Amino acid sequence: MKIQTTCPFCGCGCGMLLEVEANQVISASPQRSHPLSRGTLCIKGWNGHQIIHHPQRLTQPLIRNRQKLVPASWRQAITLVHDRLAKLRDDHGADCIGVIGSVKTTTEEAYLLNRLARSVLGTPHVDSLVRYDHAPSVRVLQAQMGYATACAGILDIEKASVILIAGANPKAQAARVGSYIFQAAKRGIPVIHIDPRQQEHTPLYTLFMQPRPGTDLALFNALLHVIIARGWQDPGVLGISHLRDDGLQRFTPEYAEQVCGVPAHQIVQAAELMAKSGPGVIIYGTGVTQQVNGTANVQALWNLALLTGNMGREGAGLIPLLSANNMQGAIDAGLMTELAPGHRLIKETPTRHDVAEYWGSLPEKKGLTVQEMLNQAGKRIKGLYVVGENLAWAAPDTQASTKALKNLDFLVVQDLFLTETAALADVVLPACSYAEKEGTFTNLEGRIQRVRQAIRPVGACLSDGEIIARLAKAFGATFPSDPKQIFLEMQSCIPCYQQIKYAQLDQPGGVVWPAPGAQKGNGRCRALLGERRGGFYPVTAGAPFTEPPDDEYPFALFTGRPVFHRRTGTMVSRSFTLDKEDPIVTVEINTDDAKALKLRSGWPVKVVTRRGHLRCTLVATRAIAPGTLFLPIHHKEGLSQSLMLAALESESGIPEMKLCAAKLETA
Amino acid sequence: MQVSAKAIVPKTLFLEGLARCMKKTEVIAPVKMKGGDITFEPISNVRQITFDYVNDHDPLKRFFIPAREELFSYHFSGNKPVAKSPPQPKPRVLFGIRSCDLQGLAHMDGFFQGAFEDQLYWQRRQQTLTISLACTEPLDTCFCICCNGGPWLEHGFDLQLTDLGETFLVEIGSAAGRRFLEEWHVPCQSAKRKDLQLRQELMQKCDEKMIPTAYLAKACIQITNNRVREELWDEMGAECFSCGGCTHVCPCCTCFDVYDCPQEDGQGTRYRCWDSCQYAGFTREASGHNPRAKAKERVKRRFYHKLSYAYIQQDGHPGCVGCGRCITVCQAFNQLDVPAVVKRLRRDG
Repeated sequence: MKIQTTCPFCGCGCGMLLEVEANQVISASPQRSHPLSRGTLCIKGWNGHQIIHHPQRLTQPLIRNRQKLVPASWRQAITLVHDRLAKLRDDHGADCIGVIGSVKTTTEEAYLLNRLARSVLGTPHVDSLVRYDHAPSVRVLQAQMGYATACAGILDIEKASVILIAGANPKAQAARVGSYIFQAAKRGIPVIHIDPRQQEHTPLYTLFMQPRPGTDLALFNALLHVIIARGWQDPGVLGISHLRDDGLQRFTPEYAEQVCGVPAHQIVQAAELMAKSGPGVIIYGTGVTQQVNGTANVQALWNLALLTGNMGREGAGLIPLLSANNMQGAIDAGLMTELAPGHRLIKETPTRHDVAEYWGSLPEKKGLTVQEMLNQAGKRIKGLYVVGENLAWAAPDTQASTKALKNLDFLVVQDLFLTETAALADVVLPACSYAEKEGTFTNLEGRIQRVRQAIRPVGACLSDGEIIARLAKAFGATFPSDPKQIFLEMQSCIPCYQQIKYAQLDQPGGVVWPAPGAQKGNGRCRALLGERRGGFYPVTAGAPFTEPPDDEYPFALFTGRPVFHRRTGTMVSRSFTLDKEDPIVTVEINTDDAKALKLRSGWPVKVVTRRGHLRCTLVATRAIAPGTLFLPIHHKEGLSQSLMLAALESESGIPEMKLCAAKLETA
Repeated sequence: MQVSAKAIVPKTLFLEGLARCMKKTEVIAPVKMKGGDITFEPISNVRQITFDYVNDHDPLKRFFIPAREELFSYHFSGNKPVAKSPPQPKPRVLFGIRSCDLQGLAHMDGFFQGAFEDQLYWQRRQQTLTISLACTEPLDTCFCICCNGGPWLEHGFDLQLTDLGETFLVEIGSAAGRRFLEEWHVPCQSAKRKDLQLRQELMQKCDEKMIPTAYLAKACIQITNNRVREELWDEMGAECFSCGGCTHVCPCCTCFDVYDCPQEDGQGTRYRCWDSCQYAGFTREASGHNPRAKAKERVKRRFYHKLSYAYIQQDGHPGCVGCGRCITVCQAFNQLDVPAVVKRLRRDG
């Protein structure tokens, strides 16, 4: 029997059929009728189902007894979690509890967790790993549109006349988006690629601009400068007719060339392509956001989209390449400390009134972000409840984050496997995989799609929603348990979901919020913005790179996402086929640098930063510029995150995970 | 009725026979899912069968070599390891399968009874009766006429049906097919000249509707004689997403891998799962060396296996039946499927 569901890997949300026999998932295959994936899947989609029956799946709750995790019943585990959290709350106040939600569970579960944290536990410290990837996007897009979401759909890429990719590798990270870009490039649509590293598909694109790591803001501003200075801006937008005294004047292409190392003529060419080709889509990823200038970078890209008239029309808009299957759903459900459900700021009183109608009460202020909670572990934060995230490995500076988790009085982890984080926990709650539960995922363009139960839960696992509801019950609250009921309640708290009928979610491809058909003809942005326009706010003063290369650490080390490794590898490393694809950790160096250091491809080396070192195999390549090192985010034999900085960007609280200074040593 | 005879059966009566069979034997037939996707599934009522389809998106090889299957499980009895085989397959009928898939099965038969006979495959194969339905309306991705994969077959089926409107033209391809008609009391009358003529017309129309897109001959020559420029393989390798979809949906692709799932208590299971020559892990050797580390080498390998004379001589036909699934499944849209590559190879020198 085949069950229609939604792929649980990246943000594309491809339609997938799970083949089931004797309560075992045998295979995953693509859904031909799906409007987005149209009968295709990437390697992760095809093989990721192998995790469901992996022998390391947790099958019963575990509680810590004399340093060891031992099996327990659900009743024991839930009672223990309740008693310990209640005691912490009584002793230190609700403020001492932190809750970290998942970007992989269903939206219904993210919503219930938010409700549990804010209304039942009463803590303002609720956040999710959206923080580590796209907090700057949430900050800028929420401020500009009132919605922290993409201003274009994935299918807009098909209608675009020009495409700009900045700091992302769509082929590896979101293959379906990569496929649409590939098809456009093959049709002769100009594609501009901005990245410090040349990728497999880059030769197919029209223009490749290779800025020095961390200098993107100057490049984006130079594009704005050229467009305004030459009068190429969209006439309908903002009435900007000349360079004003807003700081953009100094970003001439020549100045940007000095800062970024991108030739001035390429900047002019890119500006012309963006301004004159017609509707354009701008796609960006964590290469742009995980920087100390993350928010400024996203604002600059927003400015570029606005200036080129790429807001509110078909085939145009700004798309943050959200990296998890339900990162958008987590944002929709308000699983970030500054947000309430429905993309509204928690500090706004009307928002709190709306939500309080269903929740009873909720904190008035925002709390700590993920990284702040880790920094405060053992101090302000005594107890932490982590759902579906391997925080110890996801956070930058792994040693520091692991130490922080050990400082907690009480740690509860809810996951499929005994991750590095779960191994530190006092209570581990075994959760169902995507094949064992019902709900919805929302993809990176706001497409809400059904996740359907294909098999009975493995062992004694419960769905995340059921575990959260049981915990709420222990605290005396009653949560809805039926996914449809939860969705209906969510609709009351999330205004942009209100026009959707539950039955519509059953159709292939589900529904793109705000409403089916609302974005027809004008792009998703128009449906979201209504008659409003976002603002053009040039951001020119970028903060300096926190840890620039110096004599001791002469290389700028940056990381990126390969195809086969996702996040901390909790899922990917447990798929037999995926796990054997890319077992060797490599570090890339420019061929000239390798020659100068008398190193050759294939040699073992050690990448050393101020936080630690990683043994890797060297790859000499022309894909990156001299003076840089590239480390793929890899979940085996050590983690690139362990080397990276936990310095926080001031506006959105994203750690500067992309860049730091490093040196190479022979291993 | 003799084997190789052609008979006429009213559709309703054939389906009644199938319904009688269903009471004793599992029947797998095309079913339309909510949303419109077609899938072959065990049915409990003939009314579940849809005839509004050209083909399933998945090839039927999954019924003979599932994407993941248990080879055996083991446990310890004292210090002695004890292995347990999976249960024996039960008889079943595959109804409504298309010629290209059946031709793909013939290709797989050659592989799984080659140098080594694969017991699991053969047990399933022998327990399955195939009733194929010849195509009268091709999809725009179909190119079976280029590969001798359809739209109808001369042999390889137990029963082959052609939809003549109110009736099926039934061709009996094996003794098992004949037994099916007898056992389930399917009333057959010898086909008349006009029936055969009607079927001929239908087939001719179908042939005409199919735009032959894959002229294999020149591409085979190019590949066999190593005349394809390296730059073209470079180009195709750079385009490939290495998703492995083309091999998973190919009725002729047979590659698999074997892995163990040991448990802490000494029990465990050995599984076999589909693998793909498009994956880097497929050819990586124990030393870490990978003879096909780059996507380019893997794409090259795939088409060498599909089109080179060495394999055509070994298998008796190219490694393609023209089902067109690789066209739909490819992320590098219209660039790396069989017709696209054949076209690129033909024009390359």
